[in-house]
Amino acid sequence: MRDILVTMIGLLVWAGAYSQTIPVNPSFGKVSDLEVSMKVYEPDTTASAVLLYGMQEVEIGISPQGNFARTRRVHQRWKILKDEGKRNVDYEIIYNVDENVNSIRAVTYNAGADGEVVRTKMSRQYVFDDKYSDNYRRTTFAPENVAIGSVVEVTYTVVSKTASINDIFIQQESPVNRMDVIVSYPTYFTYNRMMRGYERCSSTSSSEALESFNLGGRTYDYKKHIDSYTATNLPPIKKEPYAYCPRQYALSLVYDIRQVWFPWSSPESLSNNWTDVDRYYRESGLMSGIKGRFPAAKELSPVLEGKASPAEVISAVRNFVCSRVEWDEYRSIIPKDVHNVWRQGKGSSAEINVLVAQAINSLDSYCAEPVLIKDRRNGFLFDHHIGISEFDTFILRITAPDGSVWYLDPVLKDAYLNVISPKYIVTQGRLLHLDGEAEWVDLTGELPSSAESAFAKLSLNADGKLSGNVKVKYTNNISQEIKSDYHSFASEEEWIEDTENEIGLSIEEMSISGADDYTNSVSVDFTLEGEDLNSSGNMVYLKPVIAPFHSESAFKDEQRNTPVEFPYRETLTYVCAIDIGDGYEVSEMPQQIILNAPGLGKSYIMMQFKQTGNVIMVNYKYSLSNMIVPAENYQELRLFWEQACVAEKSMITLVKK
Amino acid sequence: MTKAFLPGIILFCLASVTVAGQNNHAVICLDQEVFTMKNVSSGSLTVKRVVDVLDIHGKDEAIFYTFTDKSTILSSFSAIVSKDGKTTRVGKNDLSFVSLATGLAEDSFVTAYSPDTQPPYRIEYNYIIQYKKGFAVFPFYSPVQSEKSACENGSYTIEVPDGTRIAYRSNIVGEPECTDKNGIVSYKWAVSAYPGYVSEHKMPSRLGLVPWVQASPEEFMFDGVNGNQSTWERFGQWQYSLLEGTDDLPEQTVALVADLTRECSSDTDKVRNLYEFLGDKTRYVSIQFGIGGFKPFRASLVDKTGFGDCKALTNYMRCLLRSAGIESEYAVLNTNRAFLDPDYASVGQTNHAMLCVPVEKDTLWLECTNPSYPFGYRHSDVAGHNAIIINSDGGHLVKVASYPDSLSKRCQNTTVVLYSDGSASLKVNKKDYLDYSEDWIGFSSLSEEKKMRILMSGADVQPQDFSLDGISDNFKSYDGDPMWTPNVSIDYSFNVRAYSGINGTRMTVMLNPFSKKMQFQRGKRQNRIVTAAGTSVHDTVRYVIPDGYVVESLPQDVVLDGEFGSFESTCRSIGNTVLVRQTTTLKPCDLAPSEYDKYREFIKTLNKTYSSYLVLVKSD
Repeated sequence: MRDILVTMIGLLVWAGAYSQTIPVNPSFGKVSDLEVSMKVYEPDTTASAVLLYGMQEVEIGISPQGNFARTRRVHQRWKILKDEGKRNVDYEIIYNVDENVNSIRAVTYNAGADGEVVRTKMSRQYVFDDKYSDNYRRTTFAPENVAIGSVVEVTYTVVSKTASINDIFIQQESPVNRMDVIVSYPTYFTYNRMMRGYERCSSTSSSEALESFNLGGRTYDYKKHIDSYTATNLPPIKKEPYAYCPRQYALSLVYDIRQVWFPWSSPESLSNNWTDVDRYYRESGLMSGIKGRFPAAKELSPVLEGKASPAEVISAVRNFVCSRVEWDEYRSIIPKDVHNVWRQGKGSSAEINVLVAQAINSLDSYCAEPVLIKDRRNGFLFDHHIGISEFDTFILRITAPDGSVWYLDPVLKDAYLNVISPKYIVTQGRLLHLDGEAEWVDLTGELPSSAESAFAKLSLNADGKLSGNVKVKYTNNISQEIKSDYHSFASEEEWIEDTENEIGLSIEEMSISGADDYTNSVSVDFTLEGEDLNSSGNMVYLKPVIAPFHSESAFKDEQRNTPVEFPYRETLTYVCAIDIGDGYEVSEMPQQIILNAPGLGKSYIMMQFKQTGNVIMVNYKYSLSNMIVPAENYQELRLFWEQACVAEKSMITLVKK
Repeated sequence: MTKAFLPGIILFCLASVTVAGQNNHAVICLDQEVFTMKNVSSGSLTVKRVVDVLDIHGKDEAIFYTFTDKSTILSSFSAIVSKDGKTTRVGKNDLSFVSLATGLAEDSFVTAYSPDTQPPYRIEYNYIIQYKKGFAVFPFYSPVQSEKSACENGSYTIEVPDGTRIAYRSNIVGEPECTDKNGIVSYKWAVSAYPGYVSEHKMPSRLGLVPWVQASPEEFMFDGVNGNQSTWERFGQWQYSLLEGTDDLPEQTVALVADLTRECSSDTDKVRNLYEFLGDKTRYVSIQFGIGGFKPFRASLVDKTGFGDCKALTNYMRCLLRSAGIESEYAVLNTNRAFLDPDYASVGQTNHAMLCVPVEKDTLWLECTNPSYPFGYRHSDVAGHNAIIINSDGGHLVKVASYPDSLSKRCQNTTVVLYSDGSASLKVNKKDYLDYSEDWIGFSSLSEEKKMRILMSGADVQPQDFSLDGISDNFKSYDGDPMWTPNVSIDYSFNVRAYSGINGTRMTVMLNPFSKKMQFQRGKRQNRIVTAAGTSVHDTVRYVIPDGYVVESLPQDVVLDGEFGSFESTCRSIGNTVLVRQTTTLKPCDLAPSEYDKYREFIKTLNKTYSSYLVLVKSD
């Protein structure tokens, strides 16, 4: 799948690079009659606007005084095809207070009454710039005389005091006829480059003549490295459900600084390889924090009294730290002074993690180490795209004296050991060992699967009404979700009400146990009383799965371009014992179902029925073993899901004796 | 006072909440606000607010936020958070500042602070907001922001120079205590022992449940412009004065209007042509600074740029019509609130401008901000709402005519051909009327994929081979009848691989693939049950049974009728088909909480019926 998603720049040459549907002259103002007169964009007749031409030029420069600046020049030429398309040309640029937006120009081209092209230049009075928030400003502008059929051409420049290049998105929410990108930077800098997405563009690289700047009375010469890209006929970005980071599938360029080497200094490698990244975090204060002295070591002994197993010990330490330091809801990697945080009683995830790690590491033969994580919402991490900014947070990996290994995200509410937020369950976490080594860990494989185990004991009375009790035990991530959901309600009654509406049954009584315990499970019990069943004459129809676990509406799209990402691996067990009493006998049992899905790993569905005396036993199992399903296996997933829904709707026919 | 006493105070407050017996999430121990009007152009609001946040759900009461612009300034701010005997001081530097602008340019900001302390804790705010360049209304007083928040002690005082006439209205707090001292007249409203309210579905407007005071000076100045708002008539005079000088339509546009209307046989046709012209030429762009929030751009400016906000576009349309010899009237209303109090007029109660055009047999209300609304249609955000018509005589309170509830309906006819392997082919015709038709404005511009997702959103099936077979509407067929309404008809079809459950010789078939289950609440009802407008949903599903199968079981017919609505479900076997008809009608109502038990049973039965299924069995 990664081979499809990512291709290293420089390997690509696409013969059709310049074969855009609408031929355009990229120069500002060179709008053709064809562009003005076109009524529909043939490759996408539903489009409300098309980007006829786009140019993004990102230049890292050095001023004569030796200061860095990133200049981003944007040129867009839009064709408005429908009323909704007009929104594309109402511009809003949010920028940092250290940045500067300038050189704004906008011209609208319309067909005149006699077929001539009428140009309307935007007046400066429709360019606004104001404070947006504490650290940002906002520039807005609206080109004039925009109507259906208009061609609107806009340029603007954003100047920033930085040498970093943000992601450059080539694919847009509207179709793109042609987009050029030029990235240039002094050869003092080296960047790791990556192209993301399914669409492709052509690229070339070159060097340009010498430029110079003055520093400390001395003139330095440097060359410019230039990367050029061209993409044509791009479809709009498609947003599909079950995707943590849909934007990573759009054609875009990613540049991360790898090395800085000025003539007056030795080279500074930021991210030549992952070892450089490891070194950066080791030297950042993260590892020194984790190896540091726990500020309340003396208070640990009473906390650990009577705690024997590693799980008890680690939980006690985590709970002790979290009872003393409140999480401020911020996620970070580099901790501040944790001793100060301990005194203040409030800190970020980094500081709380470090305090927990310090406490664990103060115990004999325990070892707590950080695992750096890239949040799934920010896209996949790739081996070959190396950068310190590839990580968003870290969790802890704890090795106990008995050799058992535990993962811990201390600040996650309602969680437990080995229960971390689904957005951090990634295939590649970077484990930094205390001894200086580092390695990748696959959390999707190392963390346990989540489980929902339900046992229903139901009975049918003489009137054909169903009563009984259902006990459900949730484990790992599902437990965390159930606890969190329960805690989101202001009262137990509201929680029951929500459940009742969701499953469509009248619940007589319902209770939860373990919702406030620091464990990996929670149990819910509820009772049903006198539920009406469908019936006809002597026949009674009983669906033993009283509340289906799956909804058929999950995967409505018939085709899929991007992988389906599930939050975690999941196993579902439903065992139901139905006492039909002496008044009924089975007329017909549903078919057994056993289904494996080779494209979904070890995923399976099993539904079995067995009658012993007056009791019908129903045994249903569903297991989803893959967290990520490639687009090519989408049809198999859809069928698998559909069969789960079919199994959950199985019906037993009973007849009155 | 030493810090050691603070937990005791919190405990005292907690005790008093228990007496209130509401299981509240927060208690506003004190909310004391004083607005001092120095003169017509300046004043200040001084606030002291103390809140005990008892649990995480009471957090909203502890959030500080204030709306500012270039003439409204937060001049001082401090807060103290107390928890477990520790106090944390909060100052101006801890505040966040965010623009509220959503349009091209708006002078509107929010300054906010949200404590990140875990409850329970107490927070005490002290701050002052200065008003410069005038103000049309005094700050709105409403000490309770969210459900299950009690208010023990609140007061709002407005101090004005002697001789200043003010108007006010309020809820729960009663009449103010008035004093006159040293040339300052004070009006003081008090809130005590307010127990809080509970949020429930189908509840009355929140504004009817919480204490508030709304007040304004009769003579005012806003952004340097003077006005009088003692009545809607006087308000209208002020608003009309802002329209003056804005009707400068360029000569070439006047000529174009003449061209566009030359062939028209009636005023209605002229208005229709010019409304289409407005849609083609303009787009909504919001630029609002100071008095620009009330005064429209000149027509010549809209003509030149092709954009404007609701005021500018309405005024532009007014000028287009005038040049065609048709008089129309600029009107303002509130799209979120239907009612405007005839006895309390003030700037700021309205949020939208429209154009009222009397024609042959009808009065047209033109939505100039979005001319894609069908011509001749009074859309759901304005129909039945009060509006102020602005003309040279001043303002006139009127009501935009509404439509009978019976016209608001959604009808769906589905034919399902069932196959013996459990698969099915479905053909659907969906017809939406009146306000439901608004959902389809702009639908044709969506991608095929989005269209499919919207049309399949109510169906719990996996579609195969989805096809949108046709869409038609009557949006351009207004005939001058005041009761003309828009409608949309959509045809689509798809297959479903596993529509029916195969259980040995039997097949189970869901009664309605487009189930319309409704929510209900389990607990005891606190508020009255309110449905503002009636509506109905009609479903017909015709099943074609596969060869070799016969009907074994049909769900029983259900007929329910109550003050809140009715529901009817019938199921008939006719030859090799089964015909299912289901109709849900919701009536406008305002019922006592005790009626909720009936409502709950109604919804439970309705949901149960939607969940029921047909059973077919092999005939041999």
